[in-house]
Amino acid sequence: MSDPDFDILALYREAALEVGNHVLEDLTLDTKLADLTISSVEVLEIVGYIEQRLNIRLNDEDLSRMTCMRDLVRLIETVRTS
Amino acid sequence: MSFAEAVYREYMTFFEHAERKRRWSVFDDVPWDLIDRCPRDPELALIAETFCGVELYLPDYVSEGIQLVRANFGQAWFMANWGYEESKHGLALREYLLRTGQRTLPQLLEYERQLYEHRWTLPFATPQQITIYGAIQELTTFHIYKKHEALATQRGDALLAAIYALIARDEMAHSRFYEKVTTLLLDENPDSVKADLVYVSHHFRMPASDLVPGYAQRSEAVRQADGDRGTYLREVWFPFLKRLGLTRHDLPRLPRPARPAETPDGAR
Repeated sequence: MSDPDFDILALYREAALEVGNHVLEDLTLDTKLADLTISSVEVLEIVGYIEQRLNIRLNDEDLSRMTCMRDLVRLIETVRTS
Repeated sequence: MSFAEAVYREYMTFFEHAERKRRWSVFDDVPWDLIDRCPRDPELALIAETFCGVELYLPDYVSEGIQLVRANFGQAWFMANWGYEESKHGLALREYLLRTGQRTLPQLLEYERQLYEHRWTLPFATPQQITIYGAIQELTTFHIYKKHEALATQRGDALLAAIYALIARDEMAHSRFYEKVTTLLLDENPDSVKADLVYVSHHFRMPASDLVPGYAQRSEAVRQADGDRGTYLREVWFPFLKRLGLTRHDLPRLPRPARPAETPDGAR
């Protein structure tokens, strides 16, 4: 668990299971959010779950621009290091 | 002031603005004199025909919607006015296809026959949910028409672009009315409205997309200028929440679906 990217992927998997019982075993940094067949509301709930766990707030405009998991990881890392 | 009176006042404001500033005529305000300069682009015609198809479910939209809100004067009269304005949308697109010679009357009649083999039914059960759905759907439709207005302009079809611009302006006005009513509902019962905001957005689908004949084949052409999830969030969902004075953090969570092992009999 030393790779921070891996941690966020694991957290996303955990959140997806918690929010909507979505099992995302094959989730990678290149996974496109559109391919996950999760509704926009659920994606925002998953993000809210992650925000709460990491004690951060992500910008709505930035969230609307992310297309894949790598974008989310970058967003989170930017907020955590700023 | 009661909710009914507040909605009535909102409707009168909406209607006065519509009567004084926004009315347009299919005969006088559409620049039909541009017909000769239309490029007759088959893809633009297919898109216009698809939108025309969605608009042609008007009898179902009006009859289902008005029955749901008939006990509230402002909402019921809005539905009647909404029906009049929406009727011009289908009519203008139908006339565009006919007058430019991109469809014949028998072709359109056959298309309509296929359309009316199906019925549109209400996607949500309560007036409150339908009000929220209306705000989201009309705002989404506004953005779709604005993007197709830009596409038509880019491809040199100023006539179709002008029709889309007229329709888009109506859709925005409709969205704003539904939004005002949602605000009134929010004042009355915030927890219930917040729960319905989440519920409606989660189950939201554009109307009639599963009813228009051959929609799957049409959808690629329609989607070219439409948005994805990010566009929906950026152009519709977040602005809608902001105008209601809410953020995503104010909303409750969706009811969590039961996991297979949590079902009453434990069956998977």
